[in-house]
Amino acid sequence: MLWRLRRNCLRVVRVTKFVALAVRSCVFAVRDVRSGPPLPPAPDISLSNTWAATAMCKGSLDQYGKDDEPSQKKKPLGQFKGKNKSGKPPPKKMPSNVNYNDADPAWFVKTMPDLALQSFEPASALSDINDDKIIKAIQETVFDTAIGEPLAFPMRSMRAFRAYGLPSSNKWSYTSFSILFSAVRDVTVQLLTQVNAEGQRVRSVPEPTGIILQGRSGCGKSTLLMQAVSHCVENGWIVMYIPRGIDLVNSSSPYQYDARSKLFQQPEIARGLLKGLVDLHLEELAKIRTVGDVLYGDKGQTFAAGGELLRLAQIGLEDEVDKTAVLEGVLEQLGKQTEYPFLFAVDDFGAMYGNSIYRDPQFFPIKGYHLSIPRIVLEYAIGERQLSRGLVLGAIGPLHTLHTTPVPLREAIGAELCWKDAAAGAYAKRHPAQVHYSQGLRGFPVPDELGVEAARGWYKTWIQGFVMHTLQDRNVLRHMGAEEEPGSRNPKGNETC
Amino acid sequence: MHLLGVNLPDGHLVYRALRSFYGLNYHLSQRLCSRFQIHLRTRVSELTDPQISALSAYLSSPSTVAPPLRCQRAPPGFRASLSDPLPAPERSKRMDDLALLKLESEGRRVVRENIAHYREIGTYRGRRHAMGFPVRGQNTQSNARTARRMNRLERRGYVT
Repeated sequence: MLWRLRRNCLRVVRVTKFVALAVRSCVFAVRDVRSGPPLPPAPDISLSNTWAATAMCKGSLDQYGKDDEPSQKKKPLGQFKGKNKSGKPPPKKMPSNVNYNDADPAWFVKTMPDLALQSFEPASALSDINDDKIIKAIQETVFDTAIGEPLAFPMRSMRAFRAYGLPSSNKWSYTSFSILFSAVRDVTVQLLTQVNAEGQRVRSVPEPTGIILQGRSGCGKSTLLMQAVSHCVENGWIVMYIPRGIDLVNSSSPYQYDARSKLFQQPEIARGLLKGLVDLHLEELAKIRTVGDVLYGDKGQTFAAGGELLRLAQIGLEDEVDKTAVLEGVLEQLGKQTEYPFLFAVDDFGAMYGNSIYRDPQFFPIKGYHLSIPRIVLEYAIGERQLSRGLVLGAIGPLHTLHTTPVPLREAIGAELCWKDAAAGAYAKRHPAQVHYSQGLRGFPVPDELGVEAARGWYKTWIQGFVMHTLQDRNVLRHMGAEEEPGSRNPKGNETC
Repeated sequence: MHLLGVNLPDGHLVYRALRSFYGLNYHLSQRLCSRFQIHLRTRVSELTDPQISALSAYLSSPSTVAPPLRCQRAPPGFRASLSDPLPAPERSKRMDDLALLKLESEGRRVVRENIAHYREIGTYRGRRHAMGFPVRGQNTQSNARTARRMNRLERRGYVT
C-alpha cells in the first residue's frame, strides 16, 4: 500500500515539475519576444548570384528586384492569409495551363552541345602526371568554357547506356526529357583530366588502378561516373560499365559454386557484360588479336592465339559455355593490349565488400568478394590482375543500408566515417579481406555543393523545358535570360508555382 | 507449374510459392532455395529441370536428402587455373535440419498425435481440444469462434 502511495506521489512530483518547466519556458519566450532586438531587413536577393531554387516559392519576385525597396503596397512572402475588402477570403486559384507555343523548339539544339571533346590533343610524354603545366594544358581544352552548361549525352554514349543500363538513382530525371543530359561541374573537369592522364600511362607490371568517387549521398557520384563513361566512349576507349553494383550481390541472378576456383559463379551477369561489350565495341574487338592461347572450359576448350577477340567474346554468349571463364579471358586480353585504354566503371563499389544476400547450401552468408564478378572487379582495382592501359573507376553508394561501405575502404579513399566507427578508432571492425581489397585504391572526393553555375544550368533546363508545368513565373524567366512575350503576364500579378 | 500435386503459379517467386506446402514458411523456403542454389528472385517459371527435380525429390521425402555441400571460400590472392584438377565435392557432416522436417501428411500426423497425447494423459489442453474450446487462455464469454470450428481431437488442419 505504502509503495503505491509513494509511486503516485512521484508521479505528481514529475508532472508538476514538467508543468513548472513548461511555464518557465513560456515566460522566457514571451520575455524574449517583447524585449528582443529588431529583426534585420530582408536581404537584397538577385538571381544572378544566388541559388535559383529560392525562386520556387509562392508569390512574385518583383519585390526583390536589384534596385527596388520592398514596397509597402505589395504583400510580403508567406502572408497570404487574410480577407479582402469585402470581408471574404480571396478565392483559390488553380494554376493556369501551360502555353506550349512559348517553347522554343530549337532551344535544345542551340544550347546543348555534345559532351564529347571538340579538340583534345593528348600530351605526348606524360612521364609525370603531377606536372602542373601538363595538367593545365589539358584543362584549357576540356570544358573550361562550359562550366555549368547542361550538355546532352551523344548517340554513342546513349548506346553504351542502352547496352549496360542506367543507375537507378538518376532515372527519375530522365523520364521528363527527350534526351539524357547532365550539367558540367568543376569536379567533372578535374575527374576527366585525371582519367585522361591515367589513359596515357602504359603499365608494364600490375599496379593498383582503382579511383573511387566518394562523397555524401546525393552529391552526384553516379552522374559523374556516367559523364566519365560517356567521355571515354566518345574518345575511343573500351568501356565496361556496371551501373548498379548492387545487382551483383542482391541475389537477383543465378549462382553456382565452382570447387576449382572456390568462388560462386554468376553466369548470367557475365553474359550480360559480354553482350554489352560486343554491342558497343564491335569494331575495336575485331581489331584486337589474342596473345597466347585462351583456355575457356574445363574440358580443354582453347581459343587459339592470334584470333579475333570479338570471336572469343561471342563464344561467351552461347549456351553450355563457361561464361565466367570467357569473360575472364576477354578481360585478360584487354588488360594486355595497349592500343585502346580500358575503363571498368562500377557504381556501388562498396557493396562488394560485405555480406551479399546470397547464401551457400549450408545457409552461411556469402561475402561479395567470394562471388566471381565482384572478385574480378576488385582484383583489377588493387592490381592483382594486369591492366596495362586504363583504370577502374568506382563510386561508393551510401544509400544501400544492407551493403554499407566498410571502414578499410573508407579509410583508403578518404571517405567520412560514421560516428561510431570514428569513435571506435583502432577498435572498429576491419576484416583482413576488406583491408586486402582496399590497398592501393585512391579516392576522388566529390563536393556536396552543386555550384551556382551548374545549378543555374539545371534550373534553366527545367524551366525552359517546361518540366515543372505549373511554374509560369515570367520574372524568373526574364532573369534567366529567356524571351518574354508582351502581355503574357497574369494581369492580377499573382504568379503561381 | 504442378509440383507433387500442388499448383505453384508461374509468376510467383519460388521462395514464396513453396509456402503452399504444409510445414514450409518464408525462412524454411529460403533455406531450401539456398540448399539447391536457387537465387531469391527466381520465378517458378524460371526454374531449371535439375532444380525442379531436386525440389520434388526433397519435398516427397525430406529425410532422404543428401547433406549440403561444403563450399570452401577462396582466400584473398588465390587464383585457380582451368587446367587444375577439379576437387571432389565435400559434404557437410553436421546435423541437417532440413532432413528432420515433417511436411504435408507427416506434419499433419504429428499435430494430430500431439493432441491425442494430451488427451490421453488427461491434461487441461487435451480436455479443451476435446470440448472444442480455446486452449491458450482466450475468452469464451464472447468470440472463440475459431476454436469452436476447428478444435477437436481429430484436428483436420483446415477450415470447414
